[in-house]
Amino acid sequence: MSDNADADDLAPTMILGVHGVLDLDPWIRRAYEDHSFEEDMYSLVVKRTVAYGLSSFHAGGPEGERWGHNDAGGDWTQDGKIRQLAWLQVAVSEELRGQRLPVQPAATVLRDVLTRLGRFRLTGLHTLAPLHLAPDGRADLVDAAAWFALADPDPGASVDLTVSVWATETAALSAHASGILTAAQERTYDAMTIRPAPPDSPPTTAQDGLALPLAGEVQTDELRPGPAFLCRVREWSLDVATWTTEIFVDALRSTGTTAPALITVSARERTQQKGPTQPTMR
Amino acid sequence: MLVRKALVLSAAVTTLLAGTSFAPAYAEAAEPGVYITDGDRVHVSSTPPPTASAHGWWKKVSGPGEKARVTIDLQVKNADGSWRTVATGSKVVKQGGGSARRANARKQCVNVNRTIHWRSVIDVDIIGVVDSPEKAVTATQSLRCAV
Repeated sequence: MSDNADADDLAPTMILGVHGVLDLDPWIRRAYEDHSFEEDMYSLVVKRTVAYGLSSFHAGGPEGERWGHNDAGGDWTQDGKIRQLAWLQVAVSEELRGQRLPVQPAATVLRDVLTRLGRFRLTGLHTLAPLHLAPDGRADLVDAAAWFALADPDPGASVDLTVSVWATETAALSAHASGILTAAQERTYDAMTIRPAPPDSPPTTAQDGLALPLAGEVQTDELRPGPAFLCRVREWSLDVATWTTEIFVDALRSTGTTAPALITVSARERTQQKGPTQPTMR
Repeated sequence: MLVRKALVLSAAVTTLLAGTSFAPAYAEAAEPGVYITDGDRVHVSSTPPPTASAHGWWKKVSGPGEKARVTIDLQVKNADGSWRTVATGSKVVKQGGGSARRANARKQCVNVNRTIHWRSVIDVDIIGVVDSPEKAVTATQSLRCAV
Protein backbone atom coordinates (compact mmCIF):
# COMPACT_ATOMS: atom_id res chain seq x y z
CA MET A 1 0.00 0.00 0.00
CA SER A 2 1.37 3.38 -0.95
CA ASP A 3 1.93 6.14 1.55
CA ASN A 4 -0.67 8.89 1.27
CA ALA A 5 0.96 12.25 0.75
CA ASP A 6 -0.50 15.50 2.02
CA ALA A 7 -2.46 17.05 -0.83
CA ASP A 8 -1.03 20.42 0.23
CA ASP A 9 2.41 19.13 -0.70
CA LEU A 10 1.37 18.50 -4.27
CA ALA A 11 4.17 19.39 -6.67
CA PRO A 12 3.24 22.86 -7.96
CA THR A 13 3.16 22.35 -11.70
CA MET A 14 3.68 25.22 -14.10
CA ILE A 15 3.32 24.74 -17.84
CA LEU A 16 4.07 27.28 -20.55
CA GLY A 17 3.39 26.87 -24.24
CA VAL A 18 4.52 29.18 -27.03
CA HIS A 19 2.42 29.17 -30.19
CA GLY A 20 3.16 30.50 -33.62
CA VAL A 21 4.91 29.71 -36.86
CA LEU A 22 8.52 28.57 -36.91
CA ASP A 23 10.89 28.69 -39.83
CA LEU A 24 13.79 26.45 -39.00
CA ASP A 25 17.19 27.58 -40.22
CA PRO A 26 17.86 25.72 -43.47
CA TRP A 27 20.60 23.51 -42.11
CA ILE A 28 18.52 22.57 -39.07
CA ARG A 29 15.51 21.89 -41.26
CA ARG A 30 17.54 19.53 -43.42
CA ALA A 31 18.88 17.70 -40.38
CA TYR A 32 15.43 17.64 -38.75
CA GLU A 33 13.77 16.22 -41.83
CA ASP A 34 16.37 13.52 -42.43
CA HIS A 35 16.27 12.65 -38.71
CA SER A 36 19.94 13.41 -38.14
CA PHE A 37 19.22 16.30 -35.77
CA GLU A 38 20.04 14.87 -32.36
CA GLU A 39 18.63 17.60 -30.19
CA ASP A 40 14.97 18.17 -29.43
CA MET A 41 12.98 20.69 -27.45
CA TYR A 42 13.50 18.72 -24.27
CA SER A 43 17.28 18.60 -24.50
CA LEU A 44 17.58 22.20 -25.62
CA VAL A 45 15.32 23.40 -22.82
CA VAL A 46 17.52 21.51 -20.37
CA LYS A 47 20.64 23.17 -21.75
CA ARG A 48 19.14 26.65 -21.60
CA THR A 49 17.72 26.09 -18.14
CA VAL A 50 21.18 25.15 -16.94
CA ALA A 51 22.72 28.14 -18.72
CA TYR A 52 20.59 30.51 -16.66
CA GLY A 53 21.10 28.56 -13.45
CA LEU A 54 17.37 28.08 -13.09
CA SER A 55 17.49 24.43 -12.21
CA SER A 56 19.87 21.54 -11.77
CA PHE A 57 19.73 18.04 -13.09
CA HIS A 58 22.44 16.45 -10.98
CA ALA A 59 24.03 16.65 -7.59
CA GLY A 60 26.53 19.43 -7.10
CA GLY A 61 24.34 21.91 -8.96
CA PRO A 62 23.35 25.30 -7.63
CA GLU A 63 21.28 25.73 -4.49
CA GLY A 64 18.05 27.67 -4.65
CA GLU A 65 16.79 26.61 -8.03
CA ARG A 66 13.64 28.17 -9.44
CA TRP A 67 12.11 24.92 -10.55
CA GLY A 68 12.52 21.21 -10.98
CA HIS A 69 12.33 20.25 -14.62
CA ASN A 70 9.55 17.88 -15.67
CA ASP A 71 9.21 17.79 -19.41
CA ALA A 72 9.37 19.80 -22.61
CA GLY A 73 8.35 19.44 -26.22
CA GLY A 74 7.26 21.26 -29.31
CA ASP A 75 5.82 20.89 -32.78
CA TRP A 76 8.26 22.03 -35.46
CA THR A 77 6.19 20.96 -38.45
CA GLN A 78 7.23 23.19 -41.34
CA ASP A 79 3.89 23.90 -42.98
CA GLY A 80 3.35 27.57 -42.18
CA LYS A 81 0.48 26.78 -39.83
CA ILE A 82 0.21 27.90 -36.22
CA ARG A 83 1.77 25.24 -34.05
CA GLN A 84 2.55 24.80 -30.38
CA LEU A 85 6.21 25.43 -31.05
CA ALA A 86 7.64 24.99 -27.58
CA TRP A 87 6.36 24.05 -24.18
CA LEU A 88 7.80 23.12 -20.85
CA GLN A 89 6.47 21.66 -17.65
CA VAL A 90 8.18 22.30 -14.33
CA ALA A 91 7.59 21.94 -10.61
CA VAL A 92 8.02 25.43 -9.21
CA SER A 93 10.32 25.64 -6.21
CA GLU A 94 8.51 26.30 -2.98
CA GLU A 95 11.68 27.19 -1.14
CA LEU A 96 12.11 30.65 -2.61
CA ARG A 97 9.30 32.47 -0.87
CA GLY A 98 8.37 35.84 -2.29
CA GLN A 99 9.59 35.09 -5.79
CA ARG A 100 7.00 35.67 -8.48
CA LEU A 101 6.06 32.62 -10.47
CA PRO A 102 8.90 32.10 -12.94
CA VAL A 103 6.81 32.85 -16.01
CA GLN A 104 9.34 35.25 -17.50
CA PRO A 105 12.35 32.94 -16.98
CA ALA A 106 10.45 30.02 -18.48
CA ALA A 107 9.37 32.06 -21.49
CA THR A 108 12.93 33.25 -21.94
CA VAL A 109 14.19 29.67 -22.02
CA LEU A 110 11.62 28.77 -24.68
CA ARG A 111 12.37 31.87 -26.74
CA ASP A 112 16.09 31.16 -26.59
CA VAL A 113 15.54 27.68 -27.93
CA LEU A 114 13.25 28.83 -30.72
CA THR A 115 15.57 31.60 -31.83
CA ARG A 116 18.45 29.12 -31.78
CA LEU A 117 16.50 26.99 -34.21
CA GLY A 118 15.35 29.68 -36.59
CA ARG A 119 12.83 32.49 -36.77
CA PHE A 120 9.37 32.39 -35.31
CA ARG A 121 6.24 34.49 -35.49
CA LEU A 122 4.48 34.47 -32.15
CA THR A 123 0.71 34.11 -32.08
CA GLY A 124 0.01 33.04 -28.52
CA LEU A 125 1.16 31.93 -25.10
CA HIS A 126 -0.58 29.73 -22.58
CA THR A 127 0.37 29.32 -18.96
CA LEU A 128 -0.83 26.96 -16.29
CA ALA A 129 0.03 28.86 -13.13
CA PRO A 130 0.13 27.42 -9.59
CA LEU A 131 -1.46 30.50 -8.11
CA HIS A 132 -1.10 29.41 -4.51
CA LEU A 133 2.60 30.23 -4.83
CA ALA A 134 2.06 33.65 -6.37
CA PRO A 135 3.05 36.53 -4.08
CA ASP A 136 1.74 40.08 -4.39
CA GLY A 137 3.31 41.14 -7.67
CA ARG A 138 2.20 44.75 -7.82
CA ALA A 139 5.55 46.33 -7.02
CA ASP A 140 7.30 44.36 -9.76
CA LEU A 141 4.52 45.10 -12.22
CA VAL A 142 5.20 48.83 -11.77
CA ASP A 143 8.67 48.22 -13.17
CA ALA A 144 7.29 46.00 -15.91
CA ALA A 145 4.88 48.72 -17.00
CA ALA A 146 7.69 51.26 -17.17
CA TRP A 147 9.71 48.82 -19.26
CA PHE A 148 6.95 48.21 -21.78
CA ALA A 149 6.03 51.89 -21.90
CA LEU A 150 9.26 52.27 -23.88
CA ALA A 151 7.49 51.51 -27.12
CA ASP A 152 6.36 53.37 -30.19
CA PRO A 153 3.45 55.57 -29.05
CA ASP A 154 1.99 55.61 -32.57
CA PRO A 155 -1.50 54.09 -32.18
CA GLY A 156 -1.07 52.48 -35.57
CA ALA A 157 1.61 50.24 -34.14
CA SER A 158 -0.59 48.89 -31.38
CA VAL A 159 -1.77 45.29 -31.22
CA ASP A 160 -4.93 43.78 -29.82
CA LEU A 161 -4.66 40.70 -27.66
CA THR A 162 -7.24 38.30 -26.34
CA VAL A 163 -6.78 36.95 -22.85
CA SER A 164 -8.77 34.13 -21.33
CA VAL A 165 -8.60 32.80 -17.81
CA TRP A 166 -9.60 29.31 -16.74
CA ALA A 167 -9.84 27.76 -13.30
CA THR A 168 -11.74 25.12 -11.42
CA GLU A 169 -15.48 25.51 -11.06
CA THR A 170 -15.09 26.31 -7.38
CA ALA A 171 -12.99 29.36 -8.24
CA ALA A 172 -16.15 30.89 -9.74
CA LEU A 173 -14.19 33.10 -12.09
CA SER A 174 -17.25 34.40 -13.87
CA ALA A 175 -18.62 35.72 -10.61
CA HIS A 176 -15.36 37.59 -10.11
CA ALA A 177 -15.08 38.89 -13.66
CA SER A 178 -15.57 42.50 -12.69
CA GLY A 179 -13.03 42.31 -9.91
CA ILE A 180 -10.50 40.55 -12.14
CA LEU A 181 -10.94 43.24 -14.78
CA THR A 182 -10.44 46.05 -12.28
CA ALA A 183 -7.44 44.39 -10.70
CA ALA A 184 -5.85 43.74 -14.10
CA GLN A 185 -6.43 47.32 -15.20
CA GLU A 186 -4.81 48.61 -12.04
CA ARG A 187 -1.74 46.48 -12.70
CA THR A 188 -1.10 47.87 -16.18
CA TYR A 189 -0.18 51.31 -14.82
CA ASP A 190 -1.52 52.79 -18.04
CA ALA A 191 0.89 50.87 -20.28
CA MET A 192 -1.93 48.66 -21.62
CA THR A 193 -5.69 48.98 -21.97
CA ILE A 194 -7.96 46.14 -20.95
CA ARG A 195 -11.67 45.75 -21.48
CA PRO A 196 -14.05 42.80 -21.28
CA ALA A 197 -14.45 40.62 -24.33
CA PRO A 198 -17.96 40.69 -25.82
CA PRO A 199 -20.14 38.51 -23.61
CA ASP A 200 -21.41 36.49 -26.53
CA SER A 201 -17.96 35.48 -27.71
CA PRO A 202 -17.43 31.78 -27.21
CA PRO A 203 -14.42 30.63 -25.21
CA THR A 204 -12.83 29.35 -28.38
CA THR A 205 -12.51 32.93 -29.60
CA ALA A 206 -9.86 33.40 -26.99
CA GLN A 207 -7.94 30.52 -28.48
CA ASP A 208 -7.26 32.11 -31.84
CA GLY A 209 -3.52 32.00 -32.23
CA LEU A 210 -3.23 28.89 -30.10
CA ALA A 211 -2.67 25.39 -31.44
CA LEU A 212 -4.89 22.92 -29.65
CA PRO A 213 -4.65 20.84 -27.59
CA LEU A 214 -2.65 22.99 -25.22
CA ALA A 215 0.18 21.26 -23.42
CA GLY A 216 -1.18 20.29 -20.03
CA GLU A 217 -4.35 18.49 -21.06
CA VAL A 218 -4.15 16.33 -17.97
CA GLN A 219 -3.42 19.19 -15.59
CA THR A 220 -6.12 21.46 -17.05
CA ASP A 221 -8.79 18.83 -17.42
CA GLU A 222 -10.82 20.16 -14.52
CA LEU A 223 -10.49 23.81 -15.48
CA ARG A 224 -13.42 25.69 -16.92
CA PRO A 225 -13.37 28.91 -18.93
CA GLY A 226 -13.85 32.13 -17.06
CA PRO A 227 -14.09 35.60 -18.52
CA ALA A 228 -12.11 36.78 -21.52
CA PHE A 229 -10.58 40.19 -22.04
CA LEU A 230 -9.35 42.33 -24.89
CA CYS A 231 -6.05 44.08 -24.33
CA ARG A 232 -4.38 46.72 -26.46
CA VAL A 233 -0.60 46.95 -26.25
CA ARG A 234 1.98 48.97 -28.13
CA GLU A 235 3.94 46.00 -29.38
CA TRP A 236 3.72 42.26 -29.61
CA SER A 237 6.45 39.98 -28.40
CA LEU A 238 6.90 37.03 -26.13
CA ASP A 239 7.93 39.45 -23.39
CA VAL A 240 4.66 41.33 -23.83
CA ALA A 241 2.70 38.09 -23.73
CA THR A 242 4.55 37.17 -20.55
CA TRP A 243 3.91 40.56 -18.97
CA THR A 244 0.22 40.26 -19.84
CA THR A 245 0.15 36.83 -18.26
CA GLU A 246 1.76 38.15 -15.09
CA ILE A 247 -0.80 40.95 -14.87
CA PHE A 248 -3.57 38.37 -14.88
CA VAL A 249 -1.73 36.06 -12.50
CA ASP A 250 -1.73 38.88 -9.99
CA ALA A 251 -5.27 39.93 -10.79
CA LEU A 252 -6.49 36.39 -10.16
CA ARG A 253 -4.43 36.11 -6.99
CA SER A 254 -5.79 39.36 -5.64
CA THR A 255 -9.36 38.33 -6.31
CA GLY A 256 -9.05 35.10 -4.40
CA THR A 257 -8.04 32.40 -6.86
CA THR A 258 -5.59 30.09 -5.18
CA ALA A 259 -5.98 27.00 -7.30
CA PRO A 260 -4.10 26.38 -10.55
CA ALA A 261 -5.32 28.64 -13.33
CA LEU A 262 -4.82 28.66 -17.07
CA ILE A 263 -4.14 31.99 -18.75
CA THR A 264 -4.06 32.28 -22.52
CA VAL A 265 -2.78 35.30 -24.42
CA SER A 266 -3.12 35.49 -28.16
CA ALA A 267 -2.87 38.14 -30.82
CA ARG A 268 -5.91 39.09 -32.83
CA GLU A 269 -6.26 41.44 -35.73
CA ARG A 270 -7.64 44.90 -35.20
CA THR A 271 -10.72 45.44 -37.28
CA GLN A 272 -9.57 48.82 -38.55
CA GLN A 273 -6.04 47.81 -39.23
CA LYS A 274 -4.59 46.02 -42.20
CA GLY A 275 -2.91 43.52 -40.01
CA PRO A 276 -1.42 43.04 -36.61
CA THR A 277 2.11 43.99 -35.92
CA GLN A 278 3.71 40.65 -35.42
CA PRO A 279 7.43 40.90 -36.02
CA THR A 280 9.32 37.77 -36.75
CA MET A 281 11.57 37.00 -33.83
CA ARG A 282 15.17 36.17 -34.22
CA MET B 1 14.06 17.35 3.16
CA LEU B 2 15.14 14.56 0.94
CA VAL B 3 17.76 14.58 -1.70
CA ARG B 4 16.72 17.75 -3.44
CA LYS B 5 19.64 17.80 -5.75
CA ALA B 6 19.12 14.46 -7.08
CA LEU B 7 21.73 12.85 -8.81
CA VAL B 8 25.08 11.71 -9.57
CA LEU B 9 27.21 9.60 -10.83
CA SER B 10 29.79 7.15 -11.00
CA ALA B 11 32.75 6.34 -8.96
CA ALA B 12 35.35 8.92 -8.46
CA VAL B 13 33.12 11.82 -8.78
CA THR B 14 30.83 11.43 -5.87
CA THR B 15 33.61 12.27 -3.50
CA LEU B 16 34.85 15.09 -5.61
CA LEU B 17 31.50 16.74 -5.83
CA ALA B 18 31.02 16.54 -2.13
CA GLY B 19 33.81 19.05 -1.74
CA THR B 20 33.43 22.76 -1.82
CA SER B 21 34.27 23.17 -5.45
CA PHE B 22 33.58 21.26 -8.59
CA ALA B 23 36.77 22.55 -10.17
CA PRO B 24 39.20 20.06 -8.64
CA ALA B 25 37.33 17.27 -10.34
CA TYR B 26 38.79 18.30 -13.63
CA ALA B 27 42.33 18.26 -12.34
CA GLU B 28 42.07 14.84 -10.83
CA ALA B 29 39.72 13.18 -13.21
CA ALA B 30 41.97 12.02 -15.99
CA GLU B 31 42.23 8.43 -14.83
CA PRO B 32 38.94 7.56 -13.18
CA GLY B 33 36.75 9.54 -15.50
CA VAL B 34 33.97 11.86 -14.53
CA TYR B 35 30.46 10.97 -15.55
CA ILE B 36 27.32 12.78 -14.57
CA THR B 37 23.93 11.21 -14.18
CA ASP B 38 21.13 13.61 -15.00
CA GLY B 39 17.41 13.28 -14.55
CA ASP B 40 14.20 15.21 -14.25
CA ARG B 41 11.64 15.10 -11.48
CA VAL B 42 8.99 12.44 -11.63
CA HIS B 43 5.89 14.14 -12.98
CA VAL B 44 2.46 13.45 -14.35
CA SER B 45 2.61 13.58 -18.12
CA SER B 46 0.85 16.47 -19.82
CA THR B 47 -1.03 14.27 -22.28
CA PRO B 48 -3.67 11.72 -21.36
CA PRO B 49 -3.92 9.21 -19.93
CA PRO B 50 -2.38 10.54 -16.71
CA THR B 51 0.94 8.79 -16.38
CA ALA B 52 3.86 9.17 -14.01
CA SER B 53 6.99 9.67 -16.02
CA ALA B 54 10.66 10.44 -15.59
CA HIS B 55 13.74 10.64 -17.77
CA GLY B 56 17.39 9.89 -17.17
CA TRP B 57 20.55 10.44 -19.19
CA TRP B 58 24.26 10.83 -18.71
CA LYS B 59 27.05 13.22 -19.57
CA LYS B 60 30.75 12.59 -19.85
CA VAL B 61 33.00 15.24 -18.40
CA SER B 62 36.14 13.18 -19.00
CA GLY B 63 37.31 9.63 -19.33
CA PRO B 64 36.70 6.64 -21.57
CA GLY B 65 33.40 5.20 -22.74
CA GLU B 66 31.09 6.14 -25.56
CA LYS B 67 27.83 4.51 -24.56
CA ALA B 68 26.08 3.60 -21.36
CA ARG B 69 23.04 1.67 -20.32
CA VAL B 70 20.82 4.08 -18.47
CA THR B 71 18.26 2.38 -16.27
CA ILE B 72 15.58 4.37 -14.54
CA ASP B 73 13.26 3.02 -11.86
CA LEU B 74 10.05 4.79 -10.96
CA GLN B 75 9.38 4.32 -7.27
CA VAL B 76 6.46 5.03 -4.96
CA LYS B 77 6.66 5.30 -1.20
CA ASN B 78 5.03 2.59 0.83
CA ALA B 79 3.06 3.20 4.00
CA ASP B 80 6.01 1.87 6.02
CA GLY B 81 8.34 4.43 4.48
CA SER B 82 10.13 2.06 2.14
CA TRP B 83 10.20 2.54 -1.61
CA ARG B 84 8.80 0.22 -4.22
CA THR B 85 9.69 0.16 -7.90
CA VAL B 86 6.58 0.22 -10.09
CA ALA B 87 8.14 0.72 -13.52
CA THR B 88 11.54 0.49 -15.10
CA GLY B 89 12.95 1.88 -18.33
CA SER B 90 16.34 1.11 -19.80
CA LYS B 91 18.21 2.19 -22.88
CA VAL B 92 21.75 2.12 -24.25
CA VAL B 93 22.59 5.67 -25.23
CA LYS B 94 25.44 8.00 -26.03
CA GLN B 95 26.04 10.82 -23.61
CA GLY B 96 24.35 14.19 -23.83
CA GLY B 97 20.62 13.89 -23.30
CA GLY B 98 19.50 14.51 -26.87
CA SER B 99 16.35 13.15 -28.40
CA ALA B 100 17.56 9.56 -28.70
CA ARG B 101 19.83 9.74 -25.70
CA ARG B 102 17.43 9.49 -22.79
CA ALA B 103 15.89 6.59 -20.94
CA ASN B 104 12.29 6.95 -19.85
CA ALA B 105 10.12 5.08 -17.36
CA ARG B 106 6.36 5.45 -17.26
CA LYS B 107 3.51 4.12 -15.13
CA GLN B 108 -0.11 4.93 -15.82
CA CYS B 109 -2.00 6.40 -12.88
CA VAL B 110 -4.83 4.32 -11.49
CA ASN B 111 -6.28 6.99 -9.22
CA VAL B 112 -5.67 10.69 -9.85
CA ASN B 113 -7.61 11.76 -6.78
CA ARG B 114 -5.07 10.35 -4.39
CA THR B 115 -1.69 11.96 -3.75
CA ILE B 116 1.36 9.80 -3.15
CA HIS B 117 5.13 10.23 -3.08
CA TRP B 118 7.26 9.45 -6.12
CA ARG B 119 10.94 9.47 -6.96
CA SER B 120 13.21 7.97 -9.58
CA VAL B 121 16.43 6.05 -9.22
CA ILE B 122 18.84 6.22 -12.13
CA ASP B 123 21.72 3.89 -12.79
CA VAL B 124 24.28 4.59 -15.49
CA ASP B 125 26.49 1.71 -16.50
CA ILE B 126 29.25 2.92 -18.81
CA ILE B 127 29.79 0.17 -21.32
CA GLY B 128 33.32 -1.18 -21.27
CA VAL B 129 34.27 0.89 -18.25
CA VAL B 130 34.41 -0.24 -14.66
CA ASP B 131 32.34 2.31 -12.85
CA SER B 132 30.91 2.59 -9.39
CA PRO B 133 27.55 1.17 -8.35
CA GLU B 134 26.09 4.39 -7.00
CA LYS B 135 22.68 5.34 -8.27
CA ALA B 136 21.19 8.78 -8.50
CA VAL B 137 17.99 9.43 -6.58
CA THR B 138 15.80 12.31 -7.64
CA ALA B 139 13.89 14.60 -5.33
CA THR B 140 10.67 13.21 -3.93
CA GLN B 141 7.54 14.59 -5.56
CA SER B 142 3.96 14.46 -4.34
CA LEU B 143 1.76 13.65 -7.29
CA ARG B 144 -1.93 13.02 -7.75
CA CYS B 145 -1.21 9.66 -9.26
CA ALA B 146 -1.75 6.54 -7.22
CA VAL B 147 -0.92 3.15 -8.68
